Amino acid sequence: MGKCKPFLEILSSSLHGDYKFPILEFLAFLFLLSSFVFTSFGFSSTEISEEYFVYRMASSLTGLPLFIFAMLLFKNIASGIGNDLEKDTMQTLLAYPLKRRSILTAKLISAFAVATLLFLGMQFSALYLLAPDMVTLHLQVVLLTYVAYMSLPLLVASITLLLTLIFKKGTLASVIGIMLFFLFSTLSSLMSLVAYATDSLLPLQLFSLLVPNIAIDSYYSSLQPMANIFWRPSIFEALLYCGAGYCFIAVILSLSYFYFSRRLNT
Amino acid sequence: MKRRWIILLGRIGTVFVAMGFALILLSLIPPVKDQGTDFIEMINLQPQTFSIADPFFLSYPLDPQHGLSVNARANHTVKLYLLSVGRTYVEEWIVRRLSDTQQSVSTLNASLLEEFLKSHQSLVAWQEDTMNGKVEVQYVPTKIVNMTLIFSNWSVQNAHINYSIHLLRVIVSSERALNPAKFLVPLGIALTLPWLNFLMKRRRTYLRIFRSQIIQRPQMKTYDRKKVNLIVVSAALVY
Repeated sequence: MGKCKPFLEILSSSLHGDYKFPILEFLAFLFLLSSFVFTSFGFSSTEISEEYFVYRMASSLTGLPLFIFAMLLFKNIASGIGNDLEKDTMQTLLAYPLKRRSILTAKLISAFAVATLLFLGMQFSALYLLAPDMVTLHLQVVLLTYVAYMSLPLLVASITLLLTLIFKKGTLASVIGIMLFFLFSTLSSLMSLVAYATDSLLPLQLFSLLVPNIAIDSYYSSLQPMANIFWRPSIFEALLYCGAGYCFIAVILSLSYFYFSRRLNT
Repeated sequence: MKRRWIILLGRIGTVFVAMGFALILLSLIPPVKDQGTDFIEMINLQPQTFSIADPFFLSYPLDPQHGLSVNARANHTVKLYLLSVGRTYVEEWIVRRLSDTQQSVSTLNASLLEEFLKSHQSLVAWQEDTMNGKVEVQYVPTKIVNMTLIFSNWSVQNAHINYSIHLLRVIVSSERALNPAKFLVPLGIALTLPWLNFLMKRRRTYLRIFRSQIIQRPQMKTYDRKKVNLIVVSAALVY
């Protein structure tokens, strides 16, 4: 109970800084609105598995809204943790009777968890309102789609966090984060071309370790009977790639925790 | 601690209100008629018979963003059924049933439809009588599904039916968007009110302190009341 109060103190001040009124409300409004506007079912056919349509419906929402979600993460890291380090506010926070890792946890709950909750909450609500029967019946497909597609923004945000702690400058780290996100997104498309050109699955498989949505996309696309798919991974393989992607995120977050707890001099 | 809860619940409330407004905005967007999907037909139905409508676009499945608009007019009450199954399935069932009972395919007896509906109750997406001889309906499915429209004349008179069908494009059906908005907005407002009250109180306290500080300054004593108020209001706005 004694350590709970300072933790909540830091969490509430981080939340206040990251989501000043009306940023949170405006984001909720736009995430919900865009979820309905960007949903696409494409050409429907009852001969194709409904799972594929649920996947396509959920993945159609991962364009611009996911990009905005990634930008929100970078902004939270830059303006939250980065500014605290630049303006020496972190020294005040370190004076709290808390372990350093608890301080970083409070910051990350505000920067990552609340943003993720907001993004997923709005998208799931929209999908459920739009197609309740499909979402209820194939909830695992929707969940797997989001797990796979959110891996890239979370990976880049984790790298941005580590860089912010090393450079002690949020702006520079967030610029690098934006460039990395852009690079990874471009490479996802490029790797398919490289795989076709070299007639080898290796580039796709290697890149799927970092960006597992390629594996998930290949798996669900292969559910179409007439699909001309270069790579047909099994669901088990696709899940392994997702797991690998989140292992990378966990490793980078652990490194950030280690750096913040042991190496960071403010 | 209490203050923190008020702020937290207040912010959750404002998010609910924002969600509600987004849904209300979506519900105001009317469905758009899909170009080139107009189907108009006139049919004569003998007493105790039924007919299956056959617009070309019903051979493709509908999805939660593609609905159906039906407008029908009849000389007396006929019944409309919208089934969430393809026409082929209904026809195959009827042919199978007729061959069992040695009846002719040309007589689509209403009792046959009744039998089909009894054994496939879950497939009835919507049904309605033509009240005062007419009916208008817009239906948007909640999954990808084939649809079949059936007119049935249960009376003892001949029925003349004029009907038109077209596809609708919707972002989300207004009913589906409005239903959650109806409770999200009031709930959001209820959660926000204590927070707003807290903010007002804090602002009033701040203004009282600010005003007393300005008036206490010796050089400000010469200022009249209106100027002081003007400064206070501007400062409050900036704050």
